Amino acid sequence: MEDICKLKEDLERILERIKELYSMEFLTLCPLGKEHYKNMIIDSIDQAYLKLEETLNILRQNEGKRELKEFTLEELANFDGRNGKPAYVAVNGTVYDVTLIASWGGGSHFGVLAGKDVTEEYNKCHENENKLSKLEVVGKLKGSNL
Amino acid sequence: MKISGCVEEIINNKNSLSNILAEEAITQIKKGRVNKPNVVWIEGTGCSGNTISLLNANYPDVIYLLNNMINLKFSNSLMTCDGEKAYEIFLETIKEEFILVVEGAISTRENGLFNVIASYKGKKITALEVVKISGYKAKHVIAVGTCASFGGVSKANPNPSESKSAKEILGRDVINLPGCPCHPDWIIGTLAYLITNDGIELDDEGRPLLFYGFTIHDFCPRRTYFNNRIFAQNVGEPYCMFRLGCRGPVTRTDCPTRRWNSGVNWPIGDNTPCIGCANAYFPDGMEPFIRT
Repeated sequence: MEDICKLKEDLERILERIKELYSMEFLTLCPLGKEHYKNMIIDSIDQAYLKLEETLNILRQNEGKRELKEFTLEELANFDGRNGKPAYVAVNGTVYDVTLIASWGGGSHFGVLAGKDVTEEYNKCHENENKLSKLEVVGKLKGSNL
Repeated sequence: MKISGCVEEIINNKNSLSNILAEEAITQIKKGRVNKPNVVWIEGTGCSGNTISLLNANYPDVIYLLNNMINLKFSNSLMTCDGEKAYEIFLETIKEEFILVVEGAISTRENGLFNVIASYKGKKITALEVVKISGYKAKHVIAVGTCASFGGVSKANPNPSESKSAKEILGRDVINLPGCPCHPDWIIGTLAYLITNDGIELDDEGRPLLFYGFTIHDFCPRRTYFNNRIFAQNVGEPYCMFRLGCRGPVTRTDCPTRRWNSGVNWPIGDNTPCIGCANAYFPDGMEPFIRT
């Protein structure tokens, strides 16, 4: 996490530098000066590229290790998609985000409401379909064996 | 017609599509290449909303349709004959080639006795019986409205009349034109297309791709708000109403471009979310209509 924070600071610094260089390149009247600033901008973009690569590597390494948030059924009930709240549903112990899924307008889906454990309904309607892999996992249900 | 063809048709012609189809059908009829088809319009368990919607057609209008395009032989609401004479016309018509239009779901409880549409020689004639005797003989069967197409409001839980859709009753290919009510342009456009062609390309739910090829979300004028995640918190705000329960992303019609009441407006244009009235799961599966 500390590495990521340092990389974020570095990237912000490089971004500031690129902005300055763009202004300098715009303001200078000398063609040689313009060329010089352009080269400096390209150098800065190269630096930013390396930093981004480093950031991605760290994120990839930590992908599997992320701790899943645990939801009780009472907590899950808060995420019902009403009043601008996100819409979450639990299926087989995993909590998924369905807020912006096309068929979940307003946190409701063909008569099924968000904020609940919908395992039974899911198995009834989508038994042989793999709909879950497209959904973002946000946590797990407390007491589940995941 | 391929889907890509449909895209072009719909985008280029917007609300004049049914007029173009109707004109083509009438030209073919006048040249004697095709005959004016006989049409039998049966009202089952419904609210006659689709008949009212048809009367609101304006491009072309219903008089033009009746005079130039079709011979409407039987219609519970629109024909001048009544009683046994009207039913005799129905019996005569089904001996020839005809197109059957079914409006409303078909009640099956007590062998259809929950929906009696005629009385002939002392016998009560049910909508179930009429649809069965005409449905198998018809050249095409068009289910107009969500009730006839999928059961709709008539089939909604707990379904006391045990209503079923036209396809469930007949078990044959049915052209479904869902919508509560069905847009007059969809009815006239489909009839016109069937006059000049042998069939019409349908999707897996039996709906013509010409009118039901896209979701409302695809052409919604508020789509940019959805893309930028700007959502209305309450009904009446001019932003995307997805978080209020808008069914546009799961409902296939061309309402955003065609609009209603002679193209004046449509639900989202009037600041209310789409309630998915043309969806196969309407109304039970589309509830709650508004979630705040």
